[in-house]
Amino acid sequence: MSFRTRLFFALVLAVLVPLGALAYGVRSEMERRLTSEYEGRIRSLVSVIAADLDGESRTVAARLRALASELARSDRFRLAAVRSEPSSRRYLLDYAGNAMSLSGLSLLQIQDSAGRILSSGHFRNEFDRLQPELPRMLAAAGGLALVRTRTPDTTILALARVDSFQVGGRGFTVVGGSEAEGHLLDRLARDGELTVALVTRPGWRPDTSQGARVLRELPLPFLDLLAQNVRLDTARFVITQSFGTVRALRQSVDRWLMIALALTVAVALIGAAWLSSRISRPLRDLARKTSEIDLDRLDQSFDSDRPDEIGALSRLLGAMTERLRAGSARLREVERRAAVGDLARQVNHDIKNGLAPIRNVLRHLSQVGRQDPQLLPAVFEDRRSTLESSVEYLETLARNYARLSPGLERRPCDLNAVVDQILRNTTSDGVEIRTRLSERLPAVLGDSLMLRRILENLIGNAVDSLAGRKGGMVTVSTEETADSKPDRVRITVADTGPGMTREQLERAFDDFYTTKAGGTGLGLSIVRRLVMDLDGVLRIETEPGAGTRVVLEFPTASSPPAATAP
Amino acid sequence: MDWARVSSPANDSERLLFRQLFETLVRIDCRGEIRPGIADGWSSDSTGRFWTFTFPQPGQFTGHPPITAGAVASSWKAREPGIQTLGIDSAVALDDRTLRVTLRASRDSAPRLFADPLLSVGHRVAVVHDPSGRVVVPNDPPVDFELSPAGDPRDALDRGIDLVVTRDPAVAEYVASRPEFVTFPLPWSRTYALLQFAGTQPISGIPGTDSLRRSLASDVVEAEARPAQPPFWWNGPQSCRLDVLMEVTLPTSPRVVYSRTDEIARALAERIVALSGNTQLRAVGLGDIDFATALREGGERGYIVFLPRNVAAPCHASAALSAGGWLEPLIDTRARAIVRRGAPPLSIDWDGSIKVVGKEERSRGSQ
Repeated sequence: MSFRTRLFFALVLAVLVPLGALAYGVRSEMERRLTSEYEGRIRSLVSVIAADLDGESRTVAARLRALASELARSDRFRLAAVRSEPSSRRYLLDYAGNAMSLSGLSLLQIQDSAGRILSSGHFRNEFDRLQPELPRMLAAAGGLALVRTRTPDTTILALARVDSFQVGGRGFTVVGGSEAEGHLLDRLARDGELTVALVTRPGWRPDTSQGARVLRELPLPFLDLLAQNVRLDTARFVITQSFGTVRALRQSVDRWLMIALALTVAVALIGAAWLSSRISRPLRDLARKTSEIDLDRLDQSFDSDRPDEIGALSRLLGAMTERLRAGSARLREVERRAAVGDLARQVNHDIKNGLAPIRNVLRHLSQVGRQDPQLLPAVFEDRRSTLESSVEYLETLARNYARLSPGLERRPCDLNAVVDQILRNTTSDGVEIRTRLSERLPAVLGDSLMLRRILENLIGNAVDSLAGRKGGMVTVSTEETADSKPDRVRITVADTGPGMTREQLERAFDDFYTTKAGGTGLGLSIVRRLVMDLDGVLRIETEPGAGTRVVLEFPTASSPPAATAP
Repeated sequence: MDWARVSSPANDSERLLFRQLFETLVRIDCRGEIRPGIADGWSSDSTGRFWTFTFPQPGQFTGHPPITAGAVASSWKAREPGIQTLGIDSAVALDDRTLRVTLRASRDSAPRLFADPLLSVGHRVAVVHDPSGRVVVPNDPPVDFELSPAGDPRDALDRGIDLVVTRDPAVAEYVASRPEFVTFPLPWSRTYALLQFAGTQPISGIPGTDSLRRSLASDVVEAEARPAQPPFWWNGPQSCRLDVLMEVTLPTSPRVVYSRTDEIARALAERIVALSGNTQLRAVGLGDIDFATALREGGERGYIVFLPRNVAAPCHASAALSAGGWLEPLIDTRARAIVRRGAPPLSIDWDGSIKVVGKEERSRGSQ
């Protein structure tokens, strides 16, 4: 895992872990507070419902008391109920219905002491029926009960109370109530989150599968007058809470938290990627520059004004490169002196070799001149070719040595044009020469004559390596290097020749080392020197039997000038 | 023209209106005696099958053209299937003033049969004023009707109406102290009954006793009522009932149903439910169409229906009753006519219908 990747993950974790903890904490706290406040409100509402129910009961009781008082004073009731006056009978039968409408009750029944219905408001024509269990059981239940009874066309559940009064020494009971279903339940459940259900069946539980919760049950005596055996039972007002609003609120909070978290994660990922890239880039640049350093390439700049560790490392690397550069210069000087020594010895040897025949001819001519002067012309003619051959050899030698000290004139050069010119003047001797020249090749900063000498040597060597081989091919290609800084141009001369052994490769740049018959052994030596003079890079890729590739790289004209190697 | 509707008006308003628009050959007065109607004389042969009706002299009266024997024969011919259910074989106009009617068989009910509203002939065309609902009958004087059964009759009286027919005791009580009105009861015209179909379990607690009927009449209904009194025409000879069996569904509904617009029926149904002791039984009011459908299908535990107290042709009326059921008569009711003093004279028939007597009838001395 790269430093950049590790840095990326570290940054992501550094953001997400505290953020996740914050989100979890906020959500937990919100839920706790919401639930607490909500339950407090619900408790209040439940208390209000219980109070409403109690208030409804008291209202019914008050109305019954008022009716009982009025009946006790009513002459017509006395005539009808006590004296059984026929003319007042219809008044009695209609009384409960009229009184029920006026008092706002849903159930009203007047009975005599035997339990005979004298007047019924909710079922006018059930008069004279015996129903003594209703007031009796209501009284047994403490005066208040839930009563299921019937009207002519339906049944009603009423919150009923009982009262009594005396007329003419006879007792009467009045039972009245308000409807417990429908309107009352709606009125009790004044909050949309609460449901008030009236449960008359024992063991029945409200459906809580949808997250509803039973908050409270208010038990109430229950009297089912429609049952076969009328008995006092227990009904319940069951108050349930649906949690719909709280659930919706929680879901909304969760949703927004998730959205915020997702956005933060996305921002954190992008930020971490940018930050890790920004932090690791100087290190990658240092690694790249360091990887490009060798004895021929000590022009990398490690200047940095960063005050941090990377800046320090960069400056250390710059100092190290500087020391390498100095060491390289000293090494080059030693090499140069050694080369000059070698050259001097070689020149000495070569000149001696060239001068030896001349000296011999001159000695011979001197000897002939002293001993037999008339033979001097003939002998001169005879030895003339030797003199000319030696002179020519020395001239050639001088030209070759002259090549060891070229002049340098830098300017933008079209490398492709140089290649074309060389190939036009090159005798291929049956060798196929191919080119792959980049059409958009930048100009090279150099000396066209030096470039020509470099390429002439390399192409000539490649062609010479294929002498006598059928089907040989030389390929010259140019391209701009894609990954180098500063910008460079690469030119490759490849052949399908015999290649070089490791030993041959190690000595390939030595002066006067050659494997060719008649070769001077100075070609690659000169090429190497010229390439270095042009701030270029030279690399040989070769293997016996697999041909040779000589790769050169030169700075383009747009590249910043490299520090001159000492 | 729906002649069955003329024969069995849905309410007192229709009965009153139809009586002004249609006439029969003879009429039966409130004492049950046969009086001239369109015809002023009638006779039969010795077999009782052939009846001859004579009509008044044309041009004898003023106003609208008189009804001729030919017009009656043509009217009956146009509705022959209905006419034949009354046992009338043919009717032939011998001239403008003589109608010969042939019965399929001798009928005890003749000539009362010819007072059946089904044999009515229209000779006046009412003018209906929409949307007020006013109906003007071109009598002499013209009769102006306000058909508003849902309105308060006391309002109509206060607006100057001359005649109100009502079953509401409160209206009679309202005018009792007002000298400009005269109130008199009309003949008992309706019998309310509990109808149950075969296969139905009888509703318990409903013994057909006089005490129950008295209670229903006195304590339950808000109308002038009495215990239903026999004889009941539907209990006549079985031979005159048609052998038409209705396919009825066995009752599945624990309901006693009634027409929602009929307060008397509602009270009776509620009392029956209260006395039944069956806590599942309910009294349910239905709209007119639903009630008729329920009656046809027979799927209810019981029905509160009313029938005319008197019919001119009992056999024919019996045939129209739903077969497969039995009737428990409960109460008879009657309406009251409240008439403003100085109003045109009225004639009252045995079925409780009232006719405003025009000048021509007065001159004929038919009242």
